[in-house]
Amino acid sequence: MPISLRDGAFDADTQLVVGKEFEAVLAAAQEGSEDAFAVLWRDVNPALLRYLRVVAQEHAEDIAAEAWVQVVRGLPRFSGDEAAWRAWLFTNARRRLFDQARSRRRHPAQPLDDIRGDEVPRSPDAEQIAMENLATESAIATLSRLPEQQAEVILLRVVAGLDTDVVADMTGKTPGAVRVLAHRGLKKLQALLSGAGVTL
Amino acid sequence: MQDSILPTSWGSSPFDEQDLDALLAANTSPSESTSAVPPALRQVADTLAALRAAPSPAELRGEAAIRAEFRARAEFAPAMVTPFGGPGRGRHGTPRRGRGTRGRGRGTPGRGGRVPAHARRGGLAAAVFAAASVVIAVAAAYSGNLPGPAQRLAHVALAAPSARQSGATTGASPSMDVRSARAVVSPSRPAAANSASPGPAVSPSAVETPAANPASLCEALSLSLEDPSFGRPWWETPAYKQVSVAAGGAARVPEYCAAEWAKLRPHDYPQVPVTPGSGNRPSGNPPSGSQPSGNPPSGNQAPGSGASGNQGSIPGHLPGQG
Repeated sequence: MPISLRDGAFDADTQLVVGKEFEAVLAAAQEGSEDAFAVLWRDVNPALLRYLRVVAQEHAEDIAAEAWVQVVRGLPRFSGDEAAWRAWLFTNARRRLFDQARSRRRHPAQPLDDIRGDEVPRSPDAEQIAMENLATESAIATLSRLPEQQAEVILLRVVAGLDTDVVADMTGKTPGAVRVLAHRGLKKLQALLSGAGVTL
Repeated sequence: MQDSILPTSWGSSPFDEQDLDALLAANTSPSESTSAVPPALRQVADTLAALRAAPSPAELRGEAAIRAEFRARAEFAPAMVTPFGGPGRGRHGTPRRGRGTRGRGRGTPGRGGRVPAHARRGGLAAAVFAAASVVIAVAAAYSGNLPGPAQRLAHVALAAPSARQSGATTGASPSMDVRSARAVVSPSRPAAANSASPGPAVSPSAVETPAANPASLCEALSLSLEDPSFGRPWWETPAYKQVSVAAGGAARVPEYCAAEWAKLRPHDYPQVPVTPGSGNRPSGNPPSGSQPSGNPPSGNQAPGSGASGNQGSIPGHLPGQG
């Protein structure tokens, strides 16, 4: 049986999704329980990384780390359910994303051509990641080919599990515009998959 | 709205918007895809399912770092709270601001924990408020807008304009107390009003105190002349009665009071002989228009009544001094 990240109509779910226990876990984390906070982190971080790999690409992990630091700072004052928790985290990540984009515009990065080969940072497990979760990586790569706004809306709806109104609020669009973007993105995705003959 | 990206001439739409919404809402599973998902969307459904797949180890490898961040934060933030159950959650669960926190006592006793953010904000706000209050008070003092006693104090402490000057520009309040009233309209001792030198202790009660010293009685009488809100006409005050007795008659009151004040401040009151009835003042001339406000009743109701009325304050013209 396939295992899904989000708890929904899919019967199977991972134990990392908090679900009904969210309220108690959050309370424990706000009381200072490191283990409870780790549960929250494991719940959302994979989805956050997948979202950021599409919209921020190579900066995904940096932005995710910055967003989590902000979340840790604001955790004592947070109140809400798991959906609100996710919305808060993704909103935070979007802000970090925009901040970093502005920073990159002001301070352009040094091209890799100018860096010696032995200085190029290597991800030791990039290949391992691809092998372990080829389907997910392939899906992320396919989503990355969509127009940015369409891809973001689809990811926020599908990966983050946010409803249309929340996504509209986050992105500053109307729910109708979000829905249109998502539908166009899915149609574009369908066309890409059909034309490319991608098999997941 | 056309659902298919294919031209309509190519045939019916392979899926509709409900199918797309169903994919986005994840209410179809891959196991159902063969039956519920239109064949044209099966690859899309599989892609979205892959996006929802269980996390890989690589996606969880940052746990140690974020645990360390949380640990550090928790150790230095003894006021982490449990904000559950309360109303007023921000949109989409954003943290509420300005909410009270509850200490949980994580820090060891005697350990200097970091001041919570809300406390720092509160302290900063208090400091800003205090600074703003000081600035406003000083500005009001220099513009002469403080109440009489405060303006007098500011005049002494900050060299702000005296109550006399402020009263001339802003209008003295009739509810000004007796000390400020003296500073405003006492024409006979301008130097005393501006020099802030300690004079005889005068208070409203001095008027009613029979045992007050002569200078205080004269001061109280002067106040009763100058302040229309003093409570009673000056000729009915115990101070006037006592001063009259002490001076040996109403006509000698100005001379008596001038002598008493001169004992206290000889520099302010040059020893000018005062001749009763001459109209001379021991010192200075009153500014025009600075007249006592209480009009004595006509006839002989005022002690030493005369036709001249109340043309000045003590020392100076008194009714009946002619």
